[in-house]
Amino acid sequence: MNEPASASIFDQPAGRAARLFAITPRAAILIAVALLGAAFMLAVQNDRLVRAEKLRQAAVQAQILAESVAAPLAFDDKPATREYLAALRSNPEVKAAGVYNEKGAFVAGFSTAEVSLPAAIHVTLPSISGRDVIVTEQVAQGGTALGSVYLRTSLESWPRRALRYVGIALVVLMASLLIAVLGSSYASLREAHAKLQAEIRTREQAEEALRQSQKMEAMGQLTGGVAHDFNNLLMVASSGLDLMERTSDPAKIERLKNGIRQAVDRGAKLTQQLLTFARRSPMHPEIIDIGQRIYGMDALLDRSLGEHIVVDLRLPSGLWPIEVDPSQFEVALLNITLNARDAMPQGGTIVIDAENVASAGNEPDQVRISVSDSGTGIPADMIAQVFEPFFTTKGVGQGTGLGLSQVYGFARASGGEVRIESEPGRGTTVSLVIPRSQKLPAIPERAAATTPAAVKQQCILLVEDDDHVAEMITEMLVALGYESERAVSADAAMVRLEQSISFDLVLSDMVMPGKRNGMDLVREINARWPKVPTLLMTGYSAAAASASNDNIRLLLKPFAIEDLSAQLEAASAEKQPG
Amino acid sequence: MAALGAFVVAAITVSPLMAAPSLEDAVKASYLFKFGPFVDWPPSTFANTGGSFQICISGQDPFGSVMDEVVRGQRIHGRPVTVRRLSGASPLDCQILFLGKPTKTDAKMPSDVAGQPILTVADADDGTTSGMIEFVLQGGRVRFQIDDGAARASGLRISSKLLGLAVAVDKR
Repeated sequence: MNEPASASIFDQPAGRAARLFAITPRAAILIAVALLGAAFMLAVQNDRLVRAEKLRQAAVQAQILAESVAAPLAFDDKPATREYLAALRSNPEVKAAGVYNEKGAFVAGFSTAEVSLPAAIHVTLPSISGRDVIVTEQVAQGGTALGSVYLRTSLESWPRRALRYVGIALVVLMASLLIAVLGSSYASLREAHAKLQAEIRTREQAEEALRQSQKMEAMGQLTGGVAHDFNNLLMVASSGLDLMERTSDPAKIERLKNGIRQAVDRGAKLTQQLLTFARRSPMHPEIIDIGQRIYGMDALLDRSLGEHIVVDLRLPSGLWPIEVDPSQFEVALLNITLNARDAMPQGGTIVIDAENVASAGNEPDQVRISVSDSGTGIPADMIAQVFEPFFTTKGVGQGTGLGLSQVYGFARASGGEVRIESEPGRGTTVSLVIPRSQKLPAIPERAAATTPAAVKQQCILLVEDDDHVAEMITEMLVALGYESERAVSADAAMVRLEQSISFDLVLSDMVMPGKRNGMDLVREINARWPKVPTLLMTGYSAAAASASNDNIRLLLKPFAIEDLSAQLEAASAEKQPG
Repeated sequence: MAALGAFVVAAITVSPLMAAPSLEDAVKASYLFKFGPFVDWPPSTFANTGGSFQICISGQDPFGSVMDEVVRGQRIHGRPVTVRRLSGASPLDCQILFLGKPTKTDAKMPSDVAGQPILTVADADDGTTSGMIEFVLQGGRVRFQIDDGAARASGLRISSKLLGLAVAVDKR
């Protein structure tokens, strides 16, 4: 799956350019050949220059000789002529030199063994014969020709010439060697780079595969745990219903009903935990009074923890308010206490205390809520792992490993943190540290306290695709004293609304088949009939977060009849004129 | 070292014949011409020569036609060379004047050449004449001595190359 991406790196213009300028063996050979050619040209040019230089030197020597021998030649002074010639003899490059009279006849001169002097000459242009330069020069005085001189010098002695060529060859050799070394090192570098790239790709693939398998393992654990929990809950519910059918004792029915309700509550909580973990659950931050919230959880805690656990609440008055999602806060606290209970199989006391932590340095004011147990504790090497999703010390089916990760997620989302201190055998203290809010808590309205039946007959359009859910909600609405009509999809609801606007409120599910979903429906209604109140229901959706951002009233499934009543009233009240 | 002078290879005994000039005289004729390139004259001296370089011979002419042979087709300082035998005429337009033995017609040596830019050449052993350059015989070879002071006094410049070949310079 990484293949196309990494292949495309090499197809980029920069990569192509790099490849163009890369030194391949062929390029190295080409450069070496070019160097050789350049060296050859240089040698030829050098030779030409040396030749020209030698010609000039020989001409100058001949001129000097001609000037010197002018008088001795004119007046037949042979000893003087020979002396001048002898001076040239000391130069090893001069192979022959001769002086000739005005008639071109030989007067005096010398030559080495290899060459001989011509018997007579006439003045010509300088010429090159083999490796020798031959120069003739007129001897003249005052414009009168008196004779001529002949000079034959070697162009360049062999050792000197060889030395020059060896020098050039050495330079070429060094340059070629350098290119070869550079080329080979570059080639090996390229090869290493390609290998590294391949290695990286393989590693990435392996890591991806590992992640995938870890994910699958986690999924397996999760589904195993969740399925087990749900089966238990369903067992309680279905057996409770069976038993209710077989009895007419109101007290027993009441007990069974309570059992079923508890099972359903636990199921709801479980899904809530999963959603919190997945961070898909919409957060509804509110300013809350911690003391009030925790005292309000009293019954819930007692019911969840069992009879052999004593909860000791040590909540001072004057705790600072915090801004958190209240239900998430409750779930987090419940998760911590459930863990505390499980750490004390023989029973014991769970202490929940809270305190204000005044700001120190850069830290803002915070409120710390601690839950301490006197249980088994957590070994030091496991403390770092307890917040990891799906980490659990309990057996399969007993825990999902999501409890403390929900706590962690909640704390982070609320701008705070979780601290855990534990001593094996002595107990564990888990602390939630949440920043103080500067706002004041709203006075909680007790929705359940209002009497549901005291409403006038209102007609509600219920948009819900699931038949069973629709049936149950219709029953609830009837119980609350509403009239209702059902539409099976958002599209159907729009058709119905266009026929007549005779509804006091639209109650819609979020996810439904069709062109529109519940969100689109609500937006359209708000745009076209702004006076019609709307209420969305959802259990889970990524869009739920954006719904809360859009200030769309939301009812989280599963909900109790009291919640439905309260939300319906609130939605209606919002759109009441005045 | 150049003062050792030049030698003529041929040391053949001089023929007593009067008609043909001896080898010695032929060498002298050649030298007479070759002195030209080694001496500089003031440019004004060529004003009345018609552009030619004049070699004059006064008194007896020992060279005869040999002299004419030597200068044929030759140039000195870019000028064609002519040979003039004075026979008592004025030597004023000459560049080189060879003073031969006086004849009856010009018994006295032309005295009016003194101070003029004329290179006078004579035989040293003559006894009757003297010039700026005098031929001497040394070991059977023709050589010369030079009176550079006299030449300078006459506005002539003799090349050091020539001076170097003289057996003696400024002997007087």
